[in-house]
Amino acid sequence: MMNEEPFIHLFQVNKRNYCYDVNKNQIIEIPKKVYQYLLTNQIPDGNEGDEIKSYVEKLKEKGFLKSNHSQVSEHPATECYKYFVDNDLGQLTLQVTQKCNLDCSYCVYSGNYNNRHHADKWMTFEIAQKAIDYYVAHSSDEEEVSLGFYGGEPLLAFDFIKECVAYAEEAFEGRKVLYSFTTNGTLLTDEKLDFLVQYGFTILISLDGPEHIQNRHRKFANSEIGSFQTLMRNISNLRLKYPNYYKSNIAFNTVLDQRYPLADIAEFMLTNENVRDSKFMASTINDTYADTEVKYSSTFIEEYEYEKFKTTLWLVGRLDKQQISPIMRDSFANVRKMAIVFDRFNQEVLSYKGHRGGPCIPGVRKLFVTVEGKFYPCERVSESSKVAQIGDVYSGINEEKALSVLNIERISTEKCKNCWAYFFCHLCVAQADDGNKMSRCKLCKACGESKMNVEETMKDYVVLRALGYNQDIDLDR
Amino acid sequence: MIYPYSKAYEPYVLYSELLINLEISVLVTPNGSGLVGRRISHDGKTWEILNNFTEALSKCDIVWFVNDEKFKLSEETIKRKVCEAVSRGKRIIFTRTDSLNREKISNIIPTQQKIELEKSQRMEDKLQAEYCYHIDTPILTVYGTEAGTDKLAVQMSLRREFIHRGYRVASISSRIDSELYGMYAMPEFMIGHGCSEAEKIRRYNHYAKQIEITEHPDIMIVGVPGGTLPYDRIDHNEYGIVAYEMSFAVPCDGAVMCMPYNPSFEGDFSDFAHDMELVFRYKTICCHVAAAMPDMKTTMENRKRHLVCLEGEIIDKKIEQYNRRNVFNILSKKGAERAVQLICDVLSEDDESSEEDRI
Repeated sequence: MMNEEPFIHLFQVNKRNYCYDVNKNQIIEIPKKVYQYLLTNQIPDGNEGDEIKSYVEKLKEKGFLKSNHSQVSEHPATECYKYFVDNDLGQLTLQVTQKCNLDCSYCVYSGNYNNRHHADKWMTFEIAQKAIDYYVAHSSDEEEVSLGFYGGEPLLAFDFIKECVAYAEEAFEGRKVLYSFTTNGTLLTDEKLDFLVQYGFTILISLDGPEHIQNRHRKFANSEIGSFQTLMRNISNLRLKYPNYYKSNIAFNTVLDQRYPLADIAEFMLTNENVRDSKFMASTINDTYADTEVKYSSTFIEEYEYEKFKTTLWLVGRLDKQQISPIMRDSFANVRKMAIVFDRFNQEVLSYKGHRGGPCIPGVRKLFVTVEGKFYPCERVSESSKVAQIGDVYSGINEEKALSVLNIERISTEKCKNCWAYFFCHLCVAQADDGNKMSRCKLCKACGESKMNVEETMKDYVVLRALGYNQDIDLDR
Repeated sequence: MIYPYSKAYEPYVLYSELLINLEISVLVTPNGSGLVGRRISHDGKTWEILNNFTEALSKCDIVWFVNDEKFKLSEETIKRKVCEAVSRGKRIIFTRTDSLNREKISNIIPTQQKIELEKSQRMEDKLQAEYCYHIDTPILTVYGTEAGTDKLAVQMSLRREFIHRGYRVASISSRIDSELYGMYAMPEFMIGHGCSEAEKIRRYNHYAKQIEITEHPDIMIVGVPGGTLPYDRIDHNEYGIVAYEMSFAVPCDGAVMCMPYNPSFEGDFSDFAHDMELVFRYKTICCHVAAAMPDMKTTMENRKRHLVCLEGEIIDKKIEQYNRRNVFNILSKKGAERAVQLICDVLSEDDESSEEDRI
């Protein structure tokens, strides 16, 4: 019998047995009989029992199987939060308008979500100036500054963006400003392109797939006309006119509707000459603030797993990049991140004071400014939420509110500090926010899926490692 | 005037009383630095950081053009500012080593308006032995666990305190412009490719010996550039190669470790100090906790250590909590006094025991 319960998580992949040790933050492969013992705490009699005991003792000598848990729930940045806010703001995103020329059914502004609705609201230049001034004054420790524009459709406010850029260039005298925005791409005309290229904008264009799929959701507002033809014409024009810029600064965002098959999308992206070599960010429809849950179809799951399998083979050098749909090439980003953490974050024991993974430091990593000048940690949280609003352009960051968002673990301390997925949890205020307060109940509902994702990532990680995956080479791609 | 001012130049302001025949009257920074309007206060003096170069020219006689840190001004901007300062009759100190057109811009400055730094150059290559000389002066090495941990400020603070106590101090820092503060700069051959590694060790030793012969100091404070030991294979701190070479060239009698603030640190630095002794033979006497804290999330994502600046006050409070006799904020007056006292005690004890050994 073990004296104290070790803080570990056990899992199996392909008949191999693994133990993730939370204190050491390491995964080790263990013999089946040791796995069984750690799982059941039952030890057989005789030689086999002695062998298990001996193996376990060796693990303990190497620092594994400790039972320590963090005792006090406090994010490491808490006590110095003021200084992080004063000096280290990494990115500012301005919501230049809430209006869009498309009306996509799954868009967070579509009316099917309770955090946002499309509205004829526009940011004033005064608010943008104040926000940029705030950014200048709070980013002195950053080597680069990054100014993003968000909508609705930001290109509807193109002249406004130009004004903001002119202002930012002056305000950030002596520093390189990286500009970016996400767009549906239907308004990318020649006149706009010249400006965007001049300032080196990074552009994320939304493209869901071939015509019948793109047009399923992405239709022009107040019409049944799909956006595919317009978008592809603009993309093609951009690629021909500025081939080098296109290669380095254009990426695509694909929303996969998990209720429908995937194969057509994967194939289209792989064969279309305009996009096949581009970088993609693909995600399924997000139902965090949605009125209804979005269910996965069995065909989607089957086809997704097949594409993922092919991607695995590419990552370990058994297939060529050209055989992998671009929407899948970044699908193991979580594994890469986890590999970097395992590689670099070594420790012997959990610290007395700590906080699980998940929350970014609000108002530091990035800051989202609404058309009205309200501050939110990022564009993914609800704009109608009282808890997620952490300040505004007039009075800056409300430290008390920001610290409660940062220390989200405090609403579920007991549960979190005993959870094996402590380091890799990704739940933040967006999953706990019920509009008025941070809800433990809402957070706990998302907890199961989060843990499942972490375990799946760990399984992918051990499989890829066993096949020779190396995260540094992956990054070099 | 210091232009373009950045946080890297804060030590030069804090310890401006060490400046020889100069006084800092105004600090000018580009708009984008995020520092405009901030104030630096020290020993009853306050400097406000301004952004209007032209206006600020009327408040100074000399313009000191320094390296950029977080921002990169165009060569054209620098050239324009140099021309403006020259045309207004200002004398110029040009220590921008990161400027591609250093020579070209420097040539714009008329000789009579140019202030040259050459104290360090005068020390180089005067001794000829094929081996390292024994250095009799006690050597105090200031090293950092990583860059950005106040090493230069610590050297200046210790220098000031030792001088205040009546000691003759010679200092070698890694920055050329520290010459204005009576210090010597680390010679360029240490980071160039012009000589072999063994030759670097020998030449650096000769350089330090020459300083000893010239100045007859009571103590020599030597700053080690950058970090020392690699954190891991990604944050390698240049593998501590320069520190290793320096440890042979000028073996230290005592060392001061500079480290960033870390919430999990409780005041015991002996593990790291032990590693440093094994690798570099550093006898770490005390530790300075810098007002800077790693931002781990950014560090992980960008694969590069990223420190966020804090304020000295929070470090002072922490140091009180640690309640250790050898952990200080050496940038505070009290911290410097206590650190220097401890250093003197330890070096004197060592000296006495080595005398006894000899007897």
